[in-house]
Amino acid sequence: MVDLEHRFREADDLEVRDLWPEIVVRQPGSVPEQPTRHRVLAAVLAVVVAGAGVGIALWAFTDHGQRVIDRPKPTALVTAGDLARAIRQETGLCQTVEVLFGIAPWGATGWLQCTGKGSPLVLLSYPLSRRPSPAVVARERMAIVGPSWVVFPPDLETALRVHAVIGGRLVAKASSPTRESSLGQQTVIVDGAAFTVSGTDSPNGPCIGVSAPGGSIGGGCGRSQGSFRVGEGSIRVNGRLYDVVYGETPSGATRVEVVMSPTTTLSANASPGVWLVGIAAADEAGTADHVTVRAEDDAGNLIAEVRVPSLAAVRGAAKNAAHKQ
Amino acid sequence: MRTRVTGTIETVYRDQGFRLQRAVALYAGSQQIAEDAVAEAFAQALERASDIRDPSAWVWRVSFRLATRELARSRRTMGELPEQSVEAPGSIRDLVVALRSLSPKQRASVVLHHYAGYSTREIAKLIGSSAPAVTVHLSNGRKRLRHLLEEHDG
Repeated sequence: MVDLEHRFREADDLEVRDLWPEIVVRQPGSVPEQPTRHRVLAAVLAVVVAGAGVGIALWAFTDHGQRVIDRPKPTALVTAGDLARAIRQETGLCQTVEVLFGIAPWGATGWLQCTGKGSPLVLLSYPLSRRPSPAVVARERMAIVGPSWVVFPPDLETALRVHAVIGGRLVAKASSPTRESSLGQQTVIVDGAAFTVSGTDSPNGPCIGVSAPGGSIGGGCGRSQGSFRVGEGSIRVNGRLYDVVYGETPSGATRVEVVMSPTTTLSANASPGVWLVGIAAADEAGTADHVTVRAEDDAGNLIAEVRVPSLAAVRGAAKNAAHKQ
Repeated sequence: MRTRVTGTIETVYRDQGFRLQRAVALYAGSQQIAEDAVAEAFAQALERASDIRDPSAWVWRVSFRLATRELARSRRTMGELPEQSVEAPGSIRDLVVALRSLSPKQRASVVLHHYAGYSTREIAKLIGSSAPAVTVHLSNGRKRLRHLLEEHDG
């Protein structure tokens, strides 16, 4: 007679990995409902929509007089794209060590940068998606340049400008034609290291990127669905890892603040049209990580706000994935 | 406030996350589906923590529901369940393979009862069924599972 209790107890030996670093940065979808509850909800929703329709019709034919808006509402509350779930690579592209990542301001593309054996710096670019597939790094689209290579995702919707940098030297470049810069440029010095954010226009939308002596992030072009374009990523300069948050200044904003914690806020000069905040990277616990980015006008009114994923948490998840390979 | 909410959910994860992941892997026959379902359920829980009365029951219910949805999607697109993909010693793999022969409700009932230790009433709440129906699922599922394992071992 099979002892089911014993067989199921053996399942405790099933190896599982810690998902928490992934969970805290994951952009959740929707919770599937039970069919019956779904039907009830649909019925309730139908009643609410019908009621709202009647209400709007009545309201539209009513004289409301002069209304006063005392404070502008945020124009957008969007996340800066989905996260780099491709860290769970099955292609063995990133061999070990460290996986960095970036989120483009329009939330459409992202990239991975990782060091492999023999210390080549690898730059991998792919569209961000909830369920990335190894297919996005199809071999035929891979350009191999010396010890490094660049991958062009076959289904990339936006044009890309990709730089592969090894030890500060540009070894590969692929770009879409760009026009004269209209978004501006500014350089911010952090611990003696210069980080430059610049924005240019292109037929595919604005291109915003950050460059520093150790490499560059962003630089792709696209159009955001939200009105507040924010990107983030990490660059290693002089052996030290820095997290940067950058973006395009929303219309009407003169100041951008990056909220790190309830007591710590970093301010960026937003007047050049693009802005940047850089800080030495936090540990994986995220003790000094970015939380929210806010854009304000001269009077301190909130123009736009965006929650950004934790870079430290993603680094932790990437490290776990790399160890598991 | 968010820190407190995150802390509560993280406590649930630290307490039950691994067990839940194993339970869903047994149910789905795939560690990847289990990881995705559990990560999604906890991410959802973080998002709506203030609306959830019992986070523990909530993540179990949602994880199983997400895994069920993923299995159904695979069945629709590929015409069959995704290939069994649980990296485990032979005896556990045999159990996973045998579980795949059960109906989804039988499988969920058996896993939730024998692995996770839930009662029939609790299972009924988790999988959206009634306690008497779960009793039947459990009885039939157990019988079939024993038969399959005996056949395999014998």
